[in-house]
Amino acid sequence: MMKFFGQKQQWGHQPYPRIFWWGTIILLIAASGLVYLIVSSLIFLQEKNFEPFKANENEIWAAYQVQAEYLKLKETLIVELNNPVEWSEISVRYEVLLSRTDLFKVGILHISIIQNSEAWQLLQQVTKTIEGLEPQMEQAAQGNRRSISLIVEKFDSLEPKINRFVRSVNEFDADKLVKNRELLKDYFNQVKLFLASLFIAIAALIGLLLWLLRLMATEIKERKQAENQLQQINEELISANKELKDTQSQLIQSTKLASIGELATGIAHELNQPLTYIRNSAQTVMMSGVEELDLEEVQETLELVELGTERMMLIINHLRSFARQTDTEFQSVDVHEIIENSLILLNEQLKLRNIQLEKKYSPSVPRIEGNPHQLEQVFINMLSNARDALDGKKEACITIQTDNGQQDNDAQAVVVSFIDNGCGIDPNHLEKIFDPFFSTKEEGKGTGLGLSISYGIIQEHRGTINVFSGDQGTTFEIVLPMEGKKNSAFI
Amino acid sequence: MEKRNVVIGILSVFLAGMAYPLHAERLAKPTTRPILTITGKITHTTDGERALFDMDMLKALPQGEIRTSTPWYEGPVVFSGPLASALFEKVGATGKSILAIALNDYSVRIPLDDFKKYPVVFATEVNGKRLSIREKGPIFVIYPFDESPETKNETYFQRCIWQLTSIDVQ
Repeated sequence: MMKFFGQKQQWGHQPYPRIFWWGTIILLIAASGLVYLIVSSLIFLQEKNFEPFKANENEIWAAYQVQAEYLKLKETLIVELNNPVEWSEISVRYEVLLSRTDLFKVGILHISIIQNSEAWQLLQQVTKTIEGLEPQMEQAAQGNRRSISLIVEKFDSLEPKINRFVRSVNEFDADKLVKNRELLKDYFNQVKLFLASLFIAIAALIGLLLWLLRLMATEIKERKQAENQLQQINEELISANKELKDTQSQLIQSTKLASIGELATGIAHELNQPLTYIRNSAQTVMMSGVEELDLEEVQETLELVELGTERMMLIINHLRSFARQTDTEFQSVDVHEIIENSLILLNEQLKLRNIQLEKKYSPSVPRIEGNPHQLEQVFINMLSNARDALDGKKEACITIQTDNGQQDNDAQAVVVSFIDNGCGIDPNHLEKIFDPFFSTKEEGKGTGLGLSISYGIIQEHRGTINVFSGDQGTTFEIVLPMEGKKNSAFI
Repeated sequence: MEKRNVVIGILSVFLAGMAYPLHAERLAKPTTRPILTITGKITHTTDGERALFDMDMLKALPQGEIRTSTPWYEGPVVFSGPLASALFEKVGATGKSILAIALNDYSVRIPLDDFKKYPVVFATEVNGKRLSIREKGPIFVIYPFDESPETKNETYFQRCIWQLTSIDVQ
């Protein structure tokens, strides 16, 4: 467990090996490079179809086509001027030339050419001149040599204009090309900026994620530590509790012995009485001569002696078993028997002090689960307290009463009450009577632990002690559940 | 020796017969100015080398009509003229593709399969009006774009050559 924990701690200090970080960085750079490559390739492909470039290309091509068709027509005219052919090409070439100039009148070419006013004006002039040549062209196509030479003459003045038109378109488009390149460059720069920020954003995001992961790892580690500490504290608590328990059982034993000490006078009396018979009987026998011995009398005397020793043995045996360190196991017990046992040691004392004992045993009281020695200790404590409370009182009386009852949680219970008609307990003391070392008795007479220990014992039996006290006396009511606890949580 | 010569002679004649197109046929000579010249891998020719068509000859071929929108006209118009498939049947074309050449020497290659797949029209009229050269005539190759939308792309637009004047079957 400790070793494992130690490893965990080490892991917390260095959550990931150095290579992990380098790997992540390299991976990020590679990924961004790939993204850059893909996007720039896409842009490059896009450039091929970049609309302004495309329009330019078309425009220059179309202008060149006008020039080319013009030259073809001129060549055809010159060829046919010298060599008339079966089917003249003149009108075909003428119409092709016009179809080429027509292309600038509509669509994207028109939109493009009107931006270049010089070229547009030149083209309009050229087109007008060419269109104006239609009648001559028809005649030329039919082989009219005069018309052909007339057109060729006209064409000489047209040629510079067409050349200028083509140059103008080219120059204008070159300017536009430069502008478009700038545009594209701007576009590229924007894309680069976007990619850079995207990269930074992704890097930041991944960094954040890793940081969070690390944070989580640290938190888990801390929680584990806290849990461990808690467990340790719990273990300590359990051991402390066990120690306390041990101390308590030692305490119970001590107080038991202390109460035996207190009972010593009573016990001495208890033993004295049979001893007195025995001694008296022995003396009687001794003082009478052997001859005078009445066998019947001797028989009677010996019976008395036997009775006396029997009683002494009973007391001594019980005293021994009571004083013995007892186990804590529970068994089925009869409360009446326990009460009687505790009276063995107290009976004589009560008689000595002229305390009346009244027993109100209910025959329907069932056996309960309990520890007979501990319960006896409690009962002796109750009776001793009653005895002390009745000190010097006339017509003193203790009533021991048993009943069927119920606990607060409605469980079936046996109620044992010790009622005295003594001086009662001072209401100010009532709250403290179960506190350890609280005693109103004079120094040396009590340990101040009796009620406290009794309270502990009854609690262990899952029972309660109730106290009712007034001028008329005090009642200690011990409520014991029929099904006592089978096993203590701490033992 | 003589026997061998005879065999060779017979074989030569036989091979020459194989080489010469089986259904070689002479086409009628155009009576007006020819507007379309077809050369290359064809079996039926006007003069043994070329197949020449004037407008009347084109009109005599099975005609097709396509009503479609195009990049060159606003809205849909009706193109009509000889079916490309009929034209190449007429000349006995045996090649895989044609090189179509326009009056301005622009040329484009078209697979002959196109004419089996689509009822391509060599349009000579738009909305019933003859196409002049100035109006991208005399022949404008048109695919049925609206009917077969898969042809509505740059590849097929390129194949729609206008001012078509000659074809070389290859």
